[in-house]
Amino acid sequence: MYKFIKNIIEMYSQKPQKGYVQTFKKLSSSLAENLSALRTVFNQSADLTIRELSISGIPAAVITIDNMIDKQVLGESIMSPLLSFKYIGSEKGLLEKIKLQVLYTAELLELSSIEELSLKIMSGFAAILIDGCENAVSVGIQGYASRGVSEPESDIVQRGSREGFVESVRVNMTMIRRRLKNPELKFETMTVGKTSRTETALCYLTGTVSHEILDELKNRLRNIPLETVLASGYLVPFLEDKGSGSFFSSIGVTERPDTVCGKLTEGRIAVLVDGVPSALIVPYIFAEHFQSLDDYSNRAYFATFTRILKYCAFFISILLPGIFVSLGTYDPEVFPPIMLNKIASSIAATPLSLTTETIVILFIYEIMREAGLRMPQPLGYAVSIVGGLVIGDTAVNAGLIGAPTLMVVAISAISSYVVPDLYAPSAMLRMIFTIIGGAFGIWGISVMLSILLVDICGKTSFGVPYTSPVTPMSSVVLRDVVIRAGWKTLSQKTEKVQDLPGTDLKGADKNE
Amino acid sequence: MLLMLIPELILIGSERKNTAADIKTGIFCSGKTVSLFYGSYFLLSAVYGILTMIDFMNDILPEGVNAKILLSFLIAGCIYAAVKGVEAVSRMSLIVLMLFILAAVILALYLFPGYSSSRLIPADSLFSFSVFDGVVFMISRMNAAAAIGVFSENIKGSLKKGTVFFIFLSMIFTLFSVILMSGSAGGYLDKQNFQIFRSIDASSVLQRIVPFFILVAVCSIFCEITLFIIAASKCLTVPAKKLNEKTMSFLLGAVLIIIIVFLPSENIHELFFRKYLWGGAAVLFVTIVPALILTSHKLRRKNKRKKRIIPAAVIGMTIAVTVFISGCSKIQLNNRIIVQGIGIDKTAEGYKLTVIELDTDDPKKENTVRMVYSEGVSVEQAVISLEQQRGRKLLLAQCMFITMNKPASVDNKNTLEYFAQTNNIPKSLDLITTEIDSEQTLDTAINKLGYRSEDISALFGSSAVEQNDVKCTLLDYISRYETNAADLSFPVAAIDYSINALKISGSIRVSNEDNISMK
Repeated sequence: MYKFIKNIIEMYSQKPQKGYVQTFKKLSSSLAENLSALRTVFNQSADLTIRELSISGIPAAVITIDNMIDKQVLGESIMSPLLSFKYIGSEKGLLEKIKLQVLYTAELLELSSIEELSLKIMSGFAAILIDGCENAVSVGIQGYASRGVSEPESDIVQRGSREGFVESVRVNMTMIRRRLKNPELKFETMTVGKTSRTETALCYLTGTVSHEILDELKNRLRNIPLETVLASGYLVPFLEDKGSGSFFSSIGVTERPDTVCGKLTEGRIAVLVDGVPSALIVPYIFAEHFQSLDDYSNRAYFATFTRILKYCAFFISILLPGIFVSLGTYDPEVFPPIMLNKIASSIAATPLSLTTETIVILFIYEIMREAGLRMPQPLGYAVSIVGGLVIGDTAVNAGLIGAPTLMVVAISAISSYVVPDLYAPSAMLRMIFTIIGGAFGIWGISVMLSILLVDICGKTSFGVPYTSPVTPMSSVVLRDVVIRAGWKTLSQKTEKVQDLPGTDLKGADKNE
Repeated sequence: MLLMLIPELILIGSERKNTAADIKTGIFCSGKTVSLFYGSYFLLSAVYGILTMIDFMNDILPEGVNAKILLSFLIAGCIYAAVKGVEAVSRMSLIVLMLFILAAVILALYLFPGYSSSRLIPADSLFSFSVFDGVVFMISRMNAAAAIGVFSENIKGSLKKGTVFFIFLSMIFTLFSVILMSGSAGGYLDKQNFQIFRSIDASSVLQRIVPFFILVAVCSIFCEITLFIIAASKCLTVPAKKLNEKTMSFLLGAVLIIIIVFLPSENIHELFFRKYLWGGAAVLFVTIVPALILTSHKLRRKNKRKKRIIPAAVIGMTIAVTVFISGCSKIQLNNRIIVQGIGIDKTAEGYKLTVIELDTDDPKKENTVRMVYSEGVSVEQAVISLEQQRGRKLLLAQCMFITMNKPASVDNKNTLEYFAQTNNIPKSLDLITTEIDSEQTLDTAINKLGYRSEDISALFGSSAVEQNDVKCTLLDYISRYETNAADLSFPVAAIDYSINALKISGSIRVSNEDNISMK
């Protein structure tokens, strides 16, 4: 037992290795050596295509990855001009001539190492190697099959663009650029993941971004020790401030380019990850979970109403079953007489205690939700029918579960979808509050709520308090947190995220 | 907590660059002896906060909840919060302050417009506390919220801003206190208590939202205890240099849990917390002594090292253990007798109890009632006997009336004392005398004539006042014995067989000397 505990402590006390240091092997002047090195790097992979050719008698090669390039562009813009080019002079001069006069493509880079070259080849570039040259030219002719731009599935708005991010980071960058035609908009790319070498792009407005936050973000991304990055969620724990491990995430996620543009104008930074149709946004505060693009499309009074509704729904989703259980178990006098009669009759007719019954229903609901989520859509409908009609109705009629309890769980479950961003914390907290409500009544719920409050209040996102601008408070709270002021008020001043009260940018390096 | 701000007010002119947190660190951590002393003082303050909460909880904690485990859970939460850091607590306190203001507005809205001192009962009555008396505690403890709210600005904000905030909040709280005190007319000055809170018993709306008041009070106490733990750990790390603040917070938390679990609270109270001694110590240690230290020493700035590692596993395990140890010993609703009305007959052998119980056994029959009976030498004995016989506990929250035969009415002090002392019974329920035995009257009315409990209550309740001018509630009964003033008048109920109806046949007046006069 002691050894087991010791092992666990050791496992958790081990610091993750920071990032990885990449060594660069220079290209040789010999074409044969370079090709051999590339074959070794790619381990004779079947999709590596090497087309050797002669340009005015000088040996050269065009290297690509099959299906990552547009073959028509390769033929028309690279192969044809190269093969028909007449040149007299040195090999180094040939490379310059090719760059300046021969190739028809716009995206062109000169590279000097095997690693850089292989990365570009894997990203859909064509590499041109010439015998006698220590540099290579890579030409952007990406043409791999990808999903077209479509409406995002989870981030739906009623009045706004129907475009959502796709898997290609380049297309995503274009979608942002199209909406922000501003020279201050800057993209910086970097590679994350030792094995996957996933391309990530940082996106920000140079005039509004906080450079302390930007530097810290780059630092955290550089130090990510992961082998593979296949989804943006892989990066989230490494981007959060130290000590921020809690139910709530201080990194925003959106599938919408228009939402990203709105955040960028407030001084935030978006992280686009290749292969992921969503963007991460930092810094991110609690109030942002309750904001949506529709708030700004609708009239102010309605947007304010829906926002208050969202806050209420969130608290209903986490607290309602717990409060129901605690009042039903310990303080039934709080219920109005008729309601109490119905609840008492229902409990008397069912075999389980109120607490156990509520926990069981919550658990069954989560099972059905998870089953419906992963199933093919036609089967998902069947699960809904089975869950809703068969289990729910039959169980109530058979007297196994009480109708009031089922209704409370249903209201709570529906409420948790009003703020989809917070579904995961809602589901867990709902369960915890129910257990504590059953064990300690309203007292336990009060203590648990205090712990939850201090947990939220103790979080920061790159030095910005997670609960700002509610606490610490600023006038912004009156404009765009609980209520949404009209556009005439909002347009007077755009609040930058680094100007929120309580922000400590020096303390942003808490991830270290 | 508010007193702790006074040294800052003294320094407002000279220490503009320092935050209040810097000043306090300078005072309380200025030397090993001083730090040890203040560390112990803050620890005792945390103990005091917890003991006050125990007093509160012992009065109104629901049956089945283990107070010590709940308190351990609270302290575990406080340790977690202390490890999160003072900034987290100060941010949270602002939210608690908002909740407090909401609670105060609700109280003001419901209490003041319909306020009448005649409806009030002194808080230190000879009868035990009800659930709703918790609000008294809540208000007294929530005063801390004001100080904590000020603390929020003082952690990192300017001293000037913090002071303005302090003055603003002090004014609001003073105003609120004045309204509360003056609202209770002469009662406050005569009896030295806040009578206003007892009027919550007369407001069904406030009764329903008492859980919200409890929530605000607990959140407030949570902040207060956490701040004391943080302050104590900060001070005690000066003499104990090898320990950091996080470890010290854990140690102090463990000490607090041991104190709560193993020591009887009365002894600690007697040892440390004599009312005037503790009050005097507070004034001395947080105002005079710091002021002296400030004038004699130059503040030493120290690098604030931020240590906020959250050992989630330890906290999680503590919480899990407290939750699971508590078990499930509470009383489920299906183990309750939901009482709608009670009949009491005084006989030669003692008391006979007739209880109208909501029939919850068949969920398809809604609002059907049945009558159950028991006997005992006293009303309390009769109730115990009934609970044993049915294997369920009484839930009196829905009780609408108590009927008594004439001998029981005459001896109303003994007849009703049990109900006056019982928690969660509506103080607005009607007291009725029956012409013949209560058992027979209720049996005929309900089983033969088809009356519902609501009908009986309406007949003798508020709707009957205009016709009859005689109405007596449990609140009137309690007031009578508090003030020792007015006699009691009960309406008399009788079955009129000519029209097959229950009706008011008159009233009886019971004087202080237990004489009865019919009308």
